Amino acid sequence: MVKITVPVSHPDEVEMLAGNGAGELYCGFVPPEWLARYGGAFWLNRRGPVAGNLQRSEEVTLVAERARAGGIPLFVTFNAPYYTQEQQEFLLPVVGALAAEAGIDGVIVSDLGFLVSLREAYPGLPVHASSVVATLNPGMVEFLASLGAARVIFPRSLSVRDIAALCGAAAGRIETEAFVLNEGCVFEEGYCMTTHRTAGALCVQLPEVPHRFVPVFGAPPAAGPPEGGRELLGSFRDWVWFQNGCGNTMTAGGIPNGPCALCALFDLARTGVTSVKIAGRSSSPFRKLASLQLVRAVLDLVERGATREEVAGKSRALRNTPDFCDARYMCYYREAHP
Amino acid sequence: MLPARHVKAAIPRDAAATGVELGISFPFPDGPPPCLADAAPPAFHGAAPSRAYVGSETCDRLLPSARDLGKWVSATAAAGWGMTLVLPPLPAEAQSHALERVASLSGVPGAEVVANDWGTVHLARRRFPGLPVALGRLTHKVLRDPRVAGYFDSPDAPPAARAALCRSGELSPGFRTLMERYGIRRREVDPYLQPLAKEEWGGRPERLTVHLPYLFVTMGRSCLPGAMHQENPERFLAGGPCRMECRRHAIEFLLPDPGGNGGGKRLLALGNGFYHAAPPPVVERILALLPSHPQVDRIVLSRLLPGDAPW
Repeated sequence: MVKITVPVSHPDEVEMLAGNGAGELYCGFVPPEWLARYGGAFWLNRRGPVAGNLQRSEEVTLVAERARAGGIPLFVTFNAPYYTQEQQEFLLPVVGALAAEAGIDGVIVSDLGFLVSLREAYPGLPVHASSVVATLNPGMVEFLASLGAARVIFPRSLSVRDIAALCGAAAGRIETEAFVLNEGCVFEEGYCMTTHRTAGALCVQLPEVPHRFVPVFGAPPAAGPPEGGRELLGSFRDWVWFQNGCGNTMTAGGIPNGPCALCALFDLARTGVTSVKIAGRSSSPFRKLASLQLVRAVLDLVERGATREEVAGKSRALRNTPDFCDARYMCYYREAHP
Repeated sequence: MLPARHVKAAIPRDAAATGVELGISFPFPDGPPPCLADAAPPAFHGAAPSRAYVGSETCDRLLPSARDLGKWVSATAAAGWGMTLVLPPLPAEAQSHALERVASLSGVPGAEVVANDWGTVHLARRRFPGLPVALGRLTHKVLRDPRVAGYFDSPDAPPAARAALCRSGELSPGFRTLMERYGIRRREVDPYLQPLAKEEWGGRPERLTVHLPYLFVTMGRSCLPGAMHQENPERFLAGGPCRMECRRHAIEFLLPDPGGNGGGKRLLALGNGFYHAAPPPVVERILALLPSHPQVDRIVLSRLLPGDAPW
């Protein structure tokens, strides 16, 4: 049975999500001391310093208690691309306290050095390797397993075939997780050294700024843009728009637009992946619920033995945005589009 | 003056920089030029080239063939150069091919591999323990966004935040454990726009390679120039068809500085990688570090555009 991993950003959301089929919850936590020290300049996790994050450990405790009552685990994100030594010294006891006092079930991290230190300090606490670790190959799965990671979260750029291969490499040693709904990443997030703060996402900005085609070193000079070059940035703008949640819109029926793998759930479920992740910690409670209900409905169909065609048909019908589906830029796993 | 380690005729060492090795990047999957010396600058700040960096750091499509790699091994040996095979972050299907190339370097004097993902480090060190593996600059987690470079010196930024943005996480005990466990003796870094903290250069046991003049900014698994010949919706698919557009065209973007002061930063899309040329003051700042930081003992030069400043 594939679990659905769902974002949570307030204790009041837990019962609603648990009651609608969430298999696991994850949240962010930014203590006030971090905010006082770094302001908005250095994000503790992959969301802004406030939106989508809990800020009091008591809130994390409450979320963990309610999740436990619903029979589901809670994981907390500490997944900035890296932390300095000073930051790690601050965060290690924070994680320790959350594990001992709040009763969280694990943490999600990106910094490999921090992962090693966490395993050493709290060997009983499961650590998940974030998608920002950029696990692209079987060697990386083996590497993370050797460090004692409990789970690897695959980056969004992988195909279902890639995921199947990596789940094969992971089998029996480490759990796996793949994205199923809501937010994309235009660049490979584990290798993107830009920031969304201050200047906004680079990928969103690129189609809007002046550009020109230039010959590379050693190539003959070109007269004008190359064939296909004129339309390129227009298509890129479209793709970026879809990847960014179609401008964070919802359908009239309350279905969130944006990156989606509902059609691919038939194949994803057969890869052996442990869980599928809904992105969007900073989304509204309504958007979280609608996302969960959407994935739950399709996954239930898969688990009842529906065919690939039935799953695809149901997914399209639930979404009811055939133009967006046919554009295919909204697919996480475009190659799996029927 | 940066005397080269492997070139006897190089300018004699001086107190400013001892033992700096000069590498030249050859990112495309060709065999070596007929004469290596003709394809490289005679010198850079007094150092003569003595190492070839062969392969792309962002794209596995540009992995050299076994035949071409063999030619590179012969050519570098004949020239008295060292040979470095550069590997990008490797997707599953490319990793086994790449490790076959790595195997062919095992036992070659002066050969090494630059790995840009830890999975490849893990497998390469386990299978070829005698072959040096350097950590590629793509694995060096430090902010590189040219749009916000001006903010690093802003008095409005919290001091702790400014300090953190000028550091990596690589001096932490956990990362030190990894470096020791895998026997990594060389780390590659970028010409950062922000002044990295002193201990980032001097507070580590491994040797450092600095790439000049281009700063790596980001990359995608899909290729922007590579989408030119495709039709929607096949564009921007990781692993999509490739006609090696990167051999002919790059796309240069002008990113306006935040705040609308009319200035901007250039960003170059070369294949699936995005780069920013570090301005001369940044390059000078890095070169000025060398005399007091002997562990920074290699510079790698890339020439991406015809108009790039001469070496």
